[in-house]
Amino acid sequence: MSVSSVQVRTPQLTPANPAAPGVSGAGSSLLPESSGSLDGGDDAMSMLALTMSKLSNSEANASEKDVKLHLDKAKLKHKEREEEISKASDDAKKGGFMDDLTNNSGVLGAVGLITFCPELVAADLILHASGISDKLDGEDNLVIAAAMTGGGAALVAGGGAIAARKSGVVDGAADTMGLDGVGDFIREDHTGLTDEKVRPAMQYLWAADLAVVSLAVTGATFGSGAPLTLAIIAVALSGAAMAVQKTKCMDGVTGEGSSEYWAIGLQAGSLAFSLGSAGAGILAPATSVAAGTTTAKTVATSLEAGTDVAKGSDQIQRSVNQHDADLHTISAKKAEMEAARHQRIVDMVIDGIKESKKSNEAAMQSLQGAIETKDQTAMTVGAMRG
Amino acid sequence: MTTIQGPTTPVTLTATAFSSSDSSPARGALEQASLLQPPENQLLFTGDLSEMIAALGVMAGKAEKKAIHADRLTAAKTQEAAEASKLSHMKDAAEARLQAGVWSGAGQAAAGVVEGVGAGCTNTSGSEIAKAQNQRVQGFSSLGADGLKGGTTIVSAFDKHDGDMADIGAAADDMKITQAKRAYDEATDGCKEAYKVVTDAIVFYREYSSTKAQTEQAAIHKA
Repeated sequence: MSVSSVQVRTPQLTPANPAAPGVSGAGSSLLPESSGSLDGGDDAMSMLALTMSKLSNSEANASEKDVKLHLDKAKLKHKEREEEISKASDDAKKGGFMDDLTNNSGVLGAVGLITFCPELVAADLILHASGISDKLDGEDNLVIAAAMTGGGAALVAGGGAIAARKSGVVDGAADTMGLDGVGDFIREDHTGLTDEKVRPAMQYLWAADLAVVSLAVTGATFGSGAPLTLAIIAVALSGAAMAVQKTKCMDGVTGEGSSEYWAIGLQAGSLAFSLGSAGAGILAPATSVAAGTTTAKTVATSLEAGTDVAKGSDQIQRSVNQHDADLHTISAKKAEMEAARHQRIVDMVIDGIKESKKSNEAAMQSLQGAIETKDQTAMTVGAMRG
Repeated sequence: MTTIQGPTTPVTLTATAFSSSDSSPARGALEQASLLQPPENQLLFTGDLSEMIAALGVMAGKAEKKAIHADRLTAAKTQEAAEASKLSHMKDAAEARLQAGVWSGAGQAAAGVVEGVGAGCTNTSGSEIAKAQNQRVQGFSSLGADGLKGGTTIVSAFDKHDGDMADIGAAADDMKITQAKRAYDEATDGCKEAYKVVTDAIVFYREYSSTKAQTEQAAIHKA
């Protein structure tokens, strides 16, 4: 609804409105019904006063309806704007491919990434996508990890253990046996590991694992794999160290503050493996120096290639999400403009009401003056005749 | 006192007759429906100088208000057009940014794949021909990756430029919106001023006609 369209609509509104008293149609007279004589001066002026009063009322009614209509529309647009802003905010938070991976993985995924167990990572992604992970605590995740690593009977045992914990079977059995508190102890999560705790480190873990994967993919064709293998382990240990330091996830397992020591140990291990990798290259036979140089070059290239693929995918995903956020922002802006337009019309109508009120007051005052003057003249003429 | 005691019908000069029809539908209908001449036209030719002054004041105020009201509508329409243009520019910028991001990302990912293929050809234990072939593959893949990155970066840069131009267009629209808002506010103030001109003229006429009537009555008394 635009200001200009209101102007176009204006002449049509009142005649079409049967509720507006005194205004029956665009082409009809605004004078009152011919119930009284218009010949007499006083009668005519009374009629005029009545007409003006009715006109004033009809104006007020029509304006009130207009104000209400546009206020309702403005409110609707404000609500629409807030919804769009919320959607834009959600889209902007989504980030890129790496953020998607991070947000859809948790404790189990972290264990899988640290231990290079793709099955665990896949299981974690599935559990998150299905929403089941919300019902699992740190211990459940560790049980699943152990069960999947063990395989076979361990899978059955692990599933049974989680089901027993969750269903309250253990609790009930402990109560039956008179072991108060044992059920609660079993049901309680002693690790303190939650998805939220490991999430800040997930991006690093994913990045480290992607680097390792790219190394490993290239390494599949290597002749001499020792330096590469050591380098892969070094990268993995470094990623694990970052994750532990960031999440303090080992605090719940080995005691408060122990995560720092774990991180230091893992970093030291990473350094040792890096040195080992370099040493393996240096100590290689002279005949394989050329091959070692090629290996180093290939490692660098493969790392770059893996990073490029990850970064590229991340950027595409980020761009798409940003585009969605931009579109919602535009919709929000549009709603804001429309709300402002409706508000402007409301202000204009209110200004008109004020002006109209003043006009009608002035008109009534003038009419009153006219009646008084006429009366005085009549009295004077009567006195003169008398 | 604003009534002219004419021979047959009284002519009442009121502010209502001169107020704008911009916001009140009923008043708009009144002005559309009325077939009578505006009251100030009758005052203009009475021969009384003060009445002529009052009529001219009312007419000037009315004309001013009509012109300012037209300005206000023009400003509102300009603002609407600028707002629509800004939204369109914002959308263009968003699309251009998406294309730039997708080109850049796809280029980088594709370059990574090509580079990876080249990096995978590391078999150094084969024949000299195989080694030479591997080296050629590595060279081509490196070249291809660089070409992909370069090409998509250029395309992405063009898209970014389009996005920047759309942003500049949106900023220019913002300025137009601000100007139109100012013009609208000024016109609104102007409407109030014009209304005051009309009101002043009517007050003047009311006082004048009241004094005139009193003088006439005094003269009748004296006679």
